[in-house]
Amino acid sequence: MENRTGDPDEALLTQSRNGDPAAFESLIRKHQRMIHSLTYRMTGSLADADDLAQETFLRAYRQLGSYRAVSKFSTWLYRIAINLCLNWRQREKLRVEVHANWAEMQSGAGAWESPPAGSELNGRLHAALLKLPGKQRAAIMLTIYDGLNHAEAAEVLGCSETTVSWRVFVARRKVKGWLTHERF
Amino acid sequence: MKDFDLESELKALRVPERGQEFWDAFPQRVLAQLRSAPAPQPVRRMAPPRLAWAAGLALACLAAAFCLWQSRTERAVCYAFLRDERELRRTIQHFPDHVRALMQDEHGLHRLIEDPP
Repeated sequence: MENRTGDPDEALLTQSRNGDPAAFESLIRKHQRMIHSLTYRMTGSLADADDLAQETFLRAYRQLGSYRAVSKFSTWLYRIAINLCLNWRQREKLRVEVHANWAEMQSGAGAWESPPAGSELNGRLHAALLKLPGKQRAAIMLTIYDGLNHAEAAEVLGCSETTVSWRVFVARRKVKGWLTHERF
Repeated sequence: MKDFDLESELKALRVPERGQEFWDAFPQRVLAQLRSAPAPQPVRRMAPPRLAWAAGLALACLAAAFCLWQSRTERAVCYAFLRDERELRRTIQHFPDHVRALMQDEHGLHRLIEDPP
């Protein structure tokens, strides 16, 4: 297989493809926290984050045969996780609306399941992120939390770099606006 | 509210930490799920949407070309009839009572003009 990325996971991937469960377990151990953080930030729910992270690795394993090493394995995993989260958001729209309404009524921190302890601003930021449309939130997650540059985020999200830049810009403006003008 | 650096505030947001037991058990849960789930059936690959769009577009172009060709053919026949009719009227006007026969073939209209008996 062509490998243009110099992916550090390449050896484990090859072993996993050959049916070695221990190799795939190592891959999971390596990426589980990153994927779980992403799914939690995308959903705002620990229980859903657990399920989506698990589903991400299940899908990845089942699609290992279709993985082409033109991008890093982690980028590919991100893409699976983001797509699952975006689909989840559509399915759970009603639930998210309830959460968002609650977030508006409450002081923000309460809107998230088991939120981390922090300042009032932390809670308001969580609530503001929850209000963002899925794709804008995904752009923020990838570029700010996971440190991907806009080109890498574009690869994960399956859109152009300009679109990512625009989504990040709009999302930041919205969050800033909500935090500045709205009372949570 | 004071102005703040949104990015640094966003970065400071923490994700609730799962215990070490959770992370230790997580890969095993995934693998157990993989073992228990039936092997995925090979999915019949759908034609990629781009290909479907291209096929649709090609079909639409063919239909449009056919309609255009059809209308042009009909128009050409109409023009030929009109031209023949004009010719006929002119001939009858010039040679009243002299036109004995008219014949139409792929080369157009033919007239047989004779002196009246």
